[in-house]
Amino acid sequence: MTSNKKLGTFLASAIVLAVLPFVVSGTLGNAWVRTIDFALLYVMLALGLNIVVGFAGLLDLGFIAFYAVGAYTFALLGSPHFGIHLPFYITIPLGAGFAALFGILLGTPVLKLKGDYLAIVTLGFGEIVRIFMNNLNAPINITNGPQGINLVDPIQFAGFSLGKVTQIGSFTLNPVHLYYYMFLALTVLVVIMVSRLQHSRIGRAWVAMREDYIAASAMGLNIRNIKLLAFALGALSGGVAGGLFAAFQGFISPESFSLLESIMILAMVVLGGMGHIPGVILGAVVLTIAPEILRDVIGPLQMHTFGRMIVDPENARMLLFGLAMVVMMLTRPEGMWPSKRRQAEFDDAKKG
Amino acid sequence: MSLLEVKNLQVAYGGIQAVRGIDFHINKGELVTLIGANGAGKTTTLKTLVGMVRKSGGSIHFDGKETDNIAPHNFVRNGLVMVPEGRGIFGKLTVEENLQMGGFHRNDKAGIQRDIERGYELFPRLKERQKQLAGTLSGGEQQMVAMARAIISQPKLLLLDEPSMGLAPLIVEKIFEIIQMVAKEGVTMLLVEQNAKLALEVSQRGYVMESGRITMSGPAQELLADERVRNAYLGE
Repeated sequence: MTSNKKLGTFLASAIVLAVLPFVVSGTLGNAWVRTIDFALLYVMLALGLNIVVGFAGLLDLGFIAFYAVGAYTFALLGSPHFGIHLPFYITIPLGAGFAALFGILLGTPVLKLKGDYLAIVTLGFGEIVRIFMNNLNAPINITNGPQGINLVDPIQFAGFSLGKVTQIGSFTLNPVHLYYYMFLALTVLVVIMVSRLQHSRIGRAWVAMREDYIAASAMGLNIRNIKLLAFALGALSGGVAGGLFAAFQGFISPESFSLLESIMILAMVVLGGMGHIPGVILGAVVLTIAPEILRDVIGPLQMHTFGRMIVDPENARMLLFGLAMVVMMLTRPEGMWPSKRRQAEFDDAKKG
Repeated sequence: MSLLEVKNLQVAYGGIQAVRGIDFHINKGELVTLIGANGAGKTTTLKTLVGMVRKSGGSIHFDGKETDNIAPHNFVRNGLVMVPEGRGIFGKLTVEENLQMGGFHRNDKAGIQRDIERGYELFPRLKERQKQLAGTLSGGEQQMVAMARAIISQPKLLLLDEPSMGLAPLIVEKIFEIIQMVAKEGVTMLLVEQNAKLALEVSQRGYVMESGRITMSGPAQELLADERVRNAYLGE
């Protein structure tokens, strides 16, 4: 009975996810499908960061750097900038690999750091990567600096491009629809990877290390390797998301990889429920879609009530967003949908 | 050849000598206790044995080999396992997960599962609480988890640091029963205790430590009968 029920939920959610882009483009327009595509990218990013922050308990404020590494790898190897046009099935794994390498590069010097100190160094790392991308246009032009890289190849295989409107029978598929399925497939892959990890011996090792690294070390855990693994695996999924982002946008510049983005992804993890995969997915989806809804609501609302714009919608959005965060942290610090383990930790903290 | 051979061991924290040149040995299959007052250097000695604290002099041979160059996380693999003071269990992992951590360095999944089942046979209480977070258990149950976990890591020598600490007298009795049970399984153990009477009663041999030195040693029964031990540690 329960397995039947599970199968039922699985089939139902599969059907919903399959028809979602068409329902949305039919009712709300293609712009909203695009927002959903971005939500999927952020789900991948948040799940990656969740490995580092949620599972291993290492606060990382520079996660966007791995997204940048994935994106730049894809763009440099698939655009007129260098005139190289490698296919996506090489550039995306390569970008993920580079990102993982950067993860280890970041992880190695910060092995002994904890808490705030770790956060500051990772924050610096994120900024260093961005500034490098911004300035690596001289003396040799590698990243094209602040102008960014244009005309990045879309994802294409066997003469079929996700970047073009495609007709299947009487069905019209826009790029936003095509990318949706591509992103969905990879998101599902990432979800499978992280949930397998969570329940593996490595997942247990991360919890053990987070809790008591001396006892963990006494159990035979190599703390160094287990930390680096968390950084590398987290970076890996950030790198995949980065490659997809570059292909989807067709243009990348250092601006896309600011500190604010890192904080946004961290907020998704924390607000959703650190260490809990469904919670993190929820956090990512809510924090991608809510600002877009606010964008559509704030302007007209002000015009309607005051007859003029008092607060610029962009600022009002951040204001409301900040307010929501404060309220959330006061009333529900464990997140919207926490895991049992985290719930127990927070309950302990309240008691003690 | 003894399983553990310690010669002239010295340990210093900064300028303070915590252990001032001690010699002791443990033979295979023995249960040996190290008793002494607070601050005598007992815990420091144990920590040094498993590489958590660096020695400043002397030598430690385990299983015929010098242990100087073993990294802390590799001691378990070599069969030297410590149950730290305060038990060192992972409160946010379930009982089952804690036991699985004991097999972290092992690669035989089936063997680990078999040993976990055996742990449940030894401590039926833990079987009942299998899926519970270990942090929610009572002190005695947590000690059971720590002992079961240590056995699953297949120690050649098990080091127990103050297993009775912070537990109610009734539970303490229970813990010592557990220690004897584990000893019967053929595990060699070094027990560090402040509860000298109980510790000596279950052990074959004992060492008495005072201000970083070993001042007395011998069969446990003799130490129990010794006038000085009775006065200083048994409160008689």
